[in-house]
Amino acid sequence: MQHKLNKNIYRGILILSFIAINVLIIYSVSFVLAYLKTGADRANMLHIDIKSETVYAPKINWANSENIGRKISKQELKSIEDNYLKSWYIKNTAFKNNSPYGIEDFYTDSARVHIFNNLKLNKKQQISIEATTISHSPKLEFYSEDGKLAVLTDKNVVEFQKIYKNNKLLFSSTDTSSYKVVLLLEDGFWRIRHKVKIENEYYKDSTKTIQPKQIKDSEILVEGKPFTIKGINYYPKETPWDMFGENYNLQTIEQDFKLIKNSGLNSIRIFIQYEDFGKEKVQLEKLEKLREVLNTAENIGLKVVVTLFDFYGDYSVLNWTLTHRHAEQIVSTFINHNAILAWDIKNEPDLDFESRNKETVLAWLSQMIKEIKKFDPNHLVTIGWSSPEAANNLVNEVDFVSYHYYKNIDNFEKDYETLKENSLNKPIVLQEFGLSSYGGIWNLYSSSETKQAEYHKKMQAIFKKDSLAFMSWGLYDFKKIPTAVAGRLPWKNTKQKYFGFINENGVKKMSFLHITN
Amino acid sequence: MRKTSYISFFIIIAIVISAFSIKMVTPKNDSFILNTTSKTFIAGTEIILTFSTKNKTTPFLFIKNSYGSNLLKPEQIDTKLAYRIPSVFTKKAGVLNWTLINEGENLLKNKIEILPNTTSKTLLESYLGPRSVLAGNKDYSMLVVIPTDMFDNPLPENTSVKINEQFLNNINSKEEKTKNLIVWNNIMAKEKAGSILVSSSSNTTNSNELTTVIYPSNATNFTINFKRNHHFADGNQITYLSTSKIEDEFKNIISDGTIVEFNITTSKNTILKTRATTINGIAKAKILHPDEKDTWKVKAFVNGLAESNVISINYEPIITNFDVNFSKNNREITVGPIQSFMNQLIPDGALVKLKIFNNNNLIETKTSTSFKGFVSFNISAEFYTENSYSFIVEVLGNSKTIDTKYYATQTK
Repeated sequence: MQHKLNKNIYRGILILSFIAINVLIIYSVSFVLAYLKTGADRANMLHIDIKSETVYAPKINWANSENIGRKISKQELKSIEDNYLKSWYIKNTAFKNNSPYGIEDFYTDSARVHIFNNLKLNKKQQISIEATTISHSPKLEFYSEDGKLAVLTDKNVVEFQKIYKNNKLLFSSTDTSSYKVVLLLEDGFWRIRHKVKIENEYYKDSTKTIQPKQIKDSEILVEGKPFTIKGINYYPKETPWDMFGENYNLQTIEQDFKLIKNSGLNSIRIFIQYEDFGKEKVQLEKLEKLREVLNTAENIGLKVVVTLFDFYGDYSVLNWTLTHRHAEQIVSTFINHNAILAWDIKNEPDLDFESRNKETVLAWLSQMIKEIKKFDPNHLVTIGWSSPEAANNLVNEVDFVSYHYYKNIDNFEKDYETLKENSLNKPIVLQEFGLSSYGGIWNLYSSSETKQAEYHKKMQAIFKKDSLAFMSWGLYDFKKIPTAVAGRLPWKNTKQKYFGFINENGVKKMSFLHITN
Repeated sequence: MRKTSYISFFIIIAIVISAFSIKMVTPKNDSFILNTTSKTFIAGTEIILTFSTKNKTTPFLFIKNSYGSNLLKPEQIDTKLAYRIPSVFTKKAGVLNWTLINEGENLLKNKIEILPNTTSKTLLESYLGPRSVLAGNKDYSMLVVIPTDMFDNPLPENTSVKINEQFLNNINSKEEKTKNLIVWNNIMAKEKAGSILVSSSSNTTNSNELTTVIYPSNATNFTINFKRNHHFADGNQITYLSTSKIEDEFKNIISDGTIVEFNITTSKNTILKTRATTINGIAKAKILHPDEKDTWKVKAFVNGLAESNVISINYEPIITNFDVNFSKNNREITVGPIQSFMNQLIPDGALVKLKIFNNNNLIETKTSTSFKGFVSFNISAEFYTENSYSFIVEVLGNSKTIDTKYYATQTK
């Protein structure tokens, strides 16, 4: 009996292992067959089904002129543009990492060796270069009858680069160059065959800063008259840091704006989140919402400081052009909007100095000011620095200086005087200040609504004395703060909820009496 | 007196102070002076930029050309800084920007121009396309030539390139000058089909031979005719339809393989089609004779391009006398022998129709083809259960009527 059972078990094992081996063999044969068949279809060979994300978007202005040779279709021109820009992007990445990855896709056999040799040299010397191009103005000179060869002149390419040696930043520079380029269409890619740097044509630097007409003797003018900002930072009560999201409600916003106007204030500061608005492809629906908000503000009589690039933190050079397109789409849409007082490029960028390198952040901001001025010369530009000390940066590039003040009120006047000395006689706006009324376990019962009211009373007295521009933080207390704002730690997070003049139930706190002077 | 000496003293003091202040605003990069006077260099030659300085610092020289950038350390001899441009850069023609930098500061900035090495051997890269054109005066191929020096630098503007073109007995040459790095020329098609050979040369260098093929242009109208063994509608013989030599407007025979479609309209207005491809300009199509008297109208097309005249073909009926025999209780009908126009037995495959009537109502038409001059039909008892049937037999347009035949109803 036992013997027979054993025999059956052996038999079972044998049969099962036989089946298993067969399954394995069939599987591996089919795997090999499947592998041999991949890559054989035409779409793959011709590279026509490559799906790619936008990674590089410098401003490109094609010269409108007839080229010699065959007339080019819009689609083909777009494909040349696309491949040509990619050749820049791939080259920039290669010089950043000193690795030739992807070069062979956008440079022909003979052209790529120049890059390879250059990369070898740089690798040996431990030089790495982070670069991006800001704008291109290509002109198609020639397109061959069989559609396989094109010549273009790319005039006045603005390039920014940072040069590192042994991983240490040596210097950064912006320059302008022009190129003549021969491209060949090879297996679906427009590849660079020749690229010759040529003399620049005379080129007027449109980014030269001129004193905007809204500024006169360290005062901001609105419709030609001096305008002292008496403002407040605004988020709707229910949707802090998500003003244009799913719960966007224009009626609530309108009521809030009326409340702000009736309390004696004349301006507000709002925020636009970089990712929420769609990064380099700004969503029309978001722009429409922003337009409604701005129209409402205009009707009610409030001026708006619009803060861009909220929650943006990647300042890497290769990413620059995407942020430029983001800004372009927003500011050029509202180039003539009367409600806008200023574009605030970024909220407290100095907080990223440590993690992202101060030079990198400043270079990004400086270029962004130029970009915004290029696409909207009508409005003022500022940067919302987190402290009066940080506000010393880029003073000569902003139209007016903005800073935030959350330090001890006793030092305020002294700090203000110091900043004023350094601000090249430009207007100064205290863009954020305030005190949390939270008094609980997380701050050892150190604050209260009374203390908050006291604080605002004192501040307003100072503002009144010297007629200073101010924007307080903020209108409402919030029930919930996104972790991106103040982290998860309750002793940081909780405090952040109670900066408002009106509590989370809509009841005015004592401080509301001192919302303005 | 005393007053003026005071004044002059103050003036002197003021001058001294202002002199100091001028000295103080003098930028310190004046202490670096470029000694290299040449602004242009030839590709592939040694390039050394030298600066003189009183400073003891050793700034880097950042260089940048069309393909990349690099950072150079100086070779310093006392107060002279010499920067040797690496060969990767000296070989590439075009503008080379340089910036002298020290501790993140631009001290001096300028550019040199490297010119293509015209004394070296010229290389020619030529592109010809499209490689096939249609005969005539409209179509053309385009030749693009990029002359380069031995370092792969396109030669300067206005370099002349000779373009040669051979067709039949003609050899033409012309000179073109480079512009935008290239030379281009349209190679016009000729009226004769054939191939054009193209080559180019510049500075004693000759390119490869390139070919563009001139294909005949579009077909023009043509005529058709037919050929057949006999004119009888025997449903067996084949009529050959053929075109004249189809040519394009320049008398080139159109390309082999052009499809010609023959449309045949019968006397009953049905349309028959046959098609053939051309060889040497002639397309030959075949079609079976009809099996009854008919007159066909035939017209041929090269679709969308050309058409032929209309010809008409008559088919005479075969007058034949045939027997119809009934056997096996009239259940088997044998038609034949069927004879053709010379009383020969008709070739196998002639169509025979049997129409079956009951009380003058057509019940069914049976068809079959002849074999050795005979056709037989079976009126099986299972399907044909009526008492009487009458028949019409049709052979090649001739018919015979058979009056009512009686059938014994099946008994079990």
